[in-house]
Amino acid sequence: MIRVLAATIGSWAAGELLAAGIARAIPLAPRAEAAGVGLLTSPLLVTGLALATVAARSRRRAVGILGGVSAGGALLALLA
Amino acid sequence: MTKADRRRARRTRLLALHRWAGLLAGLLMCPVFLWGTLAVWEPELDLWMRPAITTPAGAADTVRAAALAEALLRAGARPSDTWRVALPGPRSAATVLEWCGAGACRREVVDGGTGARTRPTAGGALFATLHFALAAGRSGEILVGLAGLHVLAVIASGVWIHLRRLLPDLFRLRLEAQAAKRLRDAHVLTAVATLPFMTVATYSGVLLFAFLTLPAAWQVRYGADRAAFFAEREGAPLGTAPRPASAPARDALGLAHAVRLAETVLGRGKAGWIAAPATGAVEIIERDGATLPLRRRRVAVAADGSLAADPPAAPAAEARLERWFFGVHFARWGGTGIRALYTVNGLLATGAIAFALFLPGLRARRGGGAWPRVERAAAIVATAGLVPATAAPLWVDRLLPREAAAVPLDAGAVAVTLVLAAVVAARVRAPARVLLAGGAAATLALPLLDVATAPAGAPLAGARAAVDAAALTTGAACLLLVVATGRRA
Repeated sequence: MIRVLAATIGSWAAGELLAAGIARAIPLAPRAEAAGVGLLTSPLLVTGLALATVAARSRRRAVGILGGVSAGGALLALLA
Repeated sequence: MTKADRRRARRTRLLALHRWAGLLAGLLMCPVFLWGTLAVWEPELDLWMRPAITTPAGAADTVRAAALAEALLRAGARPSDTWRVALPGPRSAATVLEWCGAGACRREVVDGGTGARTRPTAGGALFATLHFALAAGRSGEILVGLAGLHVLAVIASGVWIHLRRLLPDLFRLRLEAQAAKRLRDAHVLTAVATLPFMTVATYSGVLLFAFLTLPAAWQVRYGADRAAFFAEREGAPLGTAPRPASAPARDALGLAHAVRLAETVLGRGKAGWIAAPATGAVEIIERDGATLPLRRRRVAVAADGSLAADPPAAPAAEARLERWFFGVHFARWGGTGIRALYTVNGLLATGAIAFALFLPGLRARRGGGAWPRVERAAAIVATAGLVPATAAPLWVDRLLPREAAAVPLDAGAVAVTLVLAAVVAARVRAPARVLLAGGAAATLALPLLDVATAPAGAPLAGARAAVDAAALTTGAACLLLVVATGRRA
């Protein structure tokens, strides 16, 4: 149960970071559209991440997936 | 490690996600799905709770109802109050009046055909409130939203696990097998049969609360100003649109004439809501449900009778997609057939969750100790306890006197019944049967309560008769379950 809880909470945090990065990194789109796209995709991102994290072969790989996605989201937000 | 071993290991890990996330979210989502299914019939349940409304559904005219509402508001509200009116529609003749001023709002529901007042009640909206917020305000909305996110993960992992067997599982129900196998078959069968419904209902429900549970995307662009997001996406409020009116339109025109004018744009009988401030234009909002995407056109009627409607420009693609999802979720777009389809799917989805909660997989893994007992008791409360808990507010609604609209009282009845169910689950032998028997008694006697407490002369027809028939059917189904489980035991 602890692993599943950690995976879902971690996926939520990483998915939110990526959604924030995406919403910030669409400079050409009107901001309402960018935020709307972010909102629509957030649940799918979190679900996909939870699946990928739990299905990962090892804990290290699971942490790597979440860390990579979080770093990607943060990088997108910083560069935008 | 061979490829087959890796696949098996991955399946085991996903099964853990499916079971644990399913258990955590399922205890909450079982009632949420059932109450959501009931919320599809909100106007009909509302009419059951307001037997004083005698005008048949669809017979009340919007213009006449607006005139009646205005007369009542002028008599009861202060001149500085803002008025809001929900007009009668094809499914209910109820007119909801609300007047707000000095930081407080008052609400009254009347018969849109006769103007007769109804007693204060939580109304059919109670089940919608329980569905999306457990009648616990913002914290309830967040809880349900997070549980919805878990359900998405549960659905996705379930599909992954069963992907190769989706079709065969749809036709497998081993009634003569052991209890665990029967439950597993029933869970998989109902879950696979309602997979599209569960996925779309959960995803659209999560979207409705995405502002609370997944706030990053719009926080980045708008900070705390959520209203700016909607204003930018949906267009400026009509109050600031062209033709500003200095004179109060509701005094110059009257609500009935304002509705008549707005319906030249919206269509005859299509006005759904009126917002009439003490100054400026009266805003008429279209009744939703005419189309699958949730659409509520607005028309502002100024004091001189001029109209300002929503701009014809189509919203952005993502906004259209979102409206489509909201339309699907609210289930107001179709007729009785579509609502019946929602009901069947909703009940089967509730059943899929309930069957899963009784699967012994997790309990068997945890071995002895208190955990299996706690888990089983929680499952019993969330499933068998749900029937009496859902019937309780209907009893309280008719039996207890009240002064104001009583969502807390009726939601309290649900909470108290669930606590009692927990006591039964902890103390009584065969608690599920006891709770189901209690639920059967509560629902079978509901029509008697209806007849005994309805005002004299209120006809037992239409929505009231339908709700009574549904209560009888539910009671009979519970009795059958009690008898069937007794035989097997």
